[in-house]
Amino acid sequence: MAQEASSSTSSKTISLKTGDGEIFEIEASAAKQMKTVQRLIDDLGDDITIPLHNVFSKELPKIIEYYKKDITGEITKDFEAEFVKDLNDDEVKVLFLAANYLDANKLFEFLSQNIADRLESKSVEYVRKYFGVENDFTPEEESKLREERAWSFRGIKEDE
Amino acid sequence: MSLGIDLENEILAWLPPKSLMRFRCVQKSWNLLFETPNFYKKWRMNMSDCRSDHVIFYEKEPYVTLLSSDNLIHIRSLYYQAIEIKSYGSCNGVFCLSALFWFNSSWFDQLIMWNPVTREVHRIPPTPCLNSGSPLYGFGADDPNSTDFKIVRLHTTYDGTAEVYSLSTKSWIPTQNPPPFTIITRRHNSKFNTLVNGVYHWITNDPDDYNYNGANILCFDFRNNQFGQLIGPAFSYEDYSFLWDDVAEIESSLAYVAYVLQCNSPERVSLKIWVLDQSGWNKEYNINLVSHFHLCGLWKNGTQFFGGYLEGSLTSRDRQGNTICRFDQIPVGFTKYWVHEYMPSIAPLGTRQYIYD
Repeated sequence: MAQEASSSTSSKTISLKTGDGEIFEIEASAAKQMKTVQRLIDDLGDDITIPLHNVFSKELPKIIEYYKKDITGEITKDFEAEFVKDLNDDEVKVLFLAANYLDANKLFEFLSQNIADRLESKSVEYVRKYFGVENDFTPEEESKLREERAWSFRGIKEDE
Repeated sequence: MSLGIDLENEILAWLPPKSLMRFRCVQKSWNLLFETPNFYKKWRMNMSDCRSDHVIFYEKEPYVTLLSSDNLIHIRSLYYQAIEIKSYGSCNGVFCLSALFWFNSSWFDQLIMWNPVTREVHRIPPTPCLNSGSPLYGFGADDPNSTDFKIVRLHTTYDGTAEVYSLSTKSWIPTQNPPPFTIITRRHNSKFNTLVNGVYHWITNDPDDYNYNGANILCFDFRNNQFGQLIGPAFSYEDYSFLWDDVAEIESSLAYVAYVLQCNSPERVSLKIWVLDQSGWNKEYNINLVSHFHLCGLWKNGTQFFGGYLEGSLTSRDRQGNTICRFDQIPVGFTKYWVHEYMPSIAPLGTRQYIYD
């Protein structure tokens, strides 16, 4: 496929439709950073509205905000800190899943790190709930493990 | 909602070692996952700037103390019935130690590899080699991300032989390339970690030797299993009385460290450090200290050091000798100890055998 001249795509916008029916605009160069979107554009053309069944109107504007900053090369540590500052742990998880669905690498990696930072000092119970995993240790097995690794529990508040 | 194993891995591979050790209790699959070489490789690539931690080894004692910024942990009896634990340095967060035993009217040396974070231990089988005369040991790997840890054993009563043990084969194999001929009068390792970019170093002569013109440094490159030799910096040895000298790793370069008494002012000791780069040995530090200051180790990649005064606490100091930090739970007493810096990691040894606190 012949390479398109960048001037003809730089001002083009793509329409994205979320799973709950809302439409958002994004620049073509930002859409390129989300591999799922780019694949859909390649299949369906860039003139029609691209449907994103697994992304919703709460998350997509935030993702678009991130990539708008990215194409101008302005993503800094301060911007990233501001970006997640008001999000709670569950909101970040939803954004993380959306970035995964969209195959948006840079945002995905940043959110992976941010979630890890949030979980660093959390209790074992909190992490189980957060990842939706079941405890498959017997009570004896678990208490033995906890005793052996007692130093790693120091200074950590256990949940009630 | 459950994220699924792949997405879980993406997040978990960014967690620091202490959190990962705690989250081993979350579920069985995670307990196994954190010990796999693949998870370690992924985790290692993410950990670009990890804070270093420390282990304190005591002279003539069988236990160690782990020291990190938020924690002070004593591990009693790291090795049961041992008289003493000696360190041969660390690589990728794993230490190589020897535990000295007195058993059946003989001394025995049990070599172990030990990860202070996971507490996993690997006991090294004795070498089948018959030469038992005061060997020198070196510890490393051929790659900064590797978990195939290796130990080189060099016989100081020179018969031109050395052997290498590797974790992957669990056996000792004689080296193809023999060490250069050197008369080795110093038969102990450096106090410091001397592994620099896959090359381990020993000083083989002593300042007390007749005609001492400088440190003779023998090295072994774990990347190609070759020995080499180089000379330490030249300086006017006659002006000083040596307390000790050693080689060390400072900021990924080889350093020569000398702790000397100045002949014309014996109340002052000087800590002198030279670092080797492309242009040769360059003197980096010359720190003057009062003579009854006990030096206990280097910190922050050699830019700070540990030490203190008898009956005081352990402190860390900058190059001017100013106190940065005090460790009130660690006294400077008559029991001599040395503080080793290392990078905490979850590098697996594959044995699933542990030594706990």
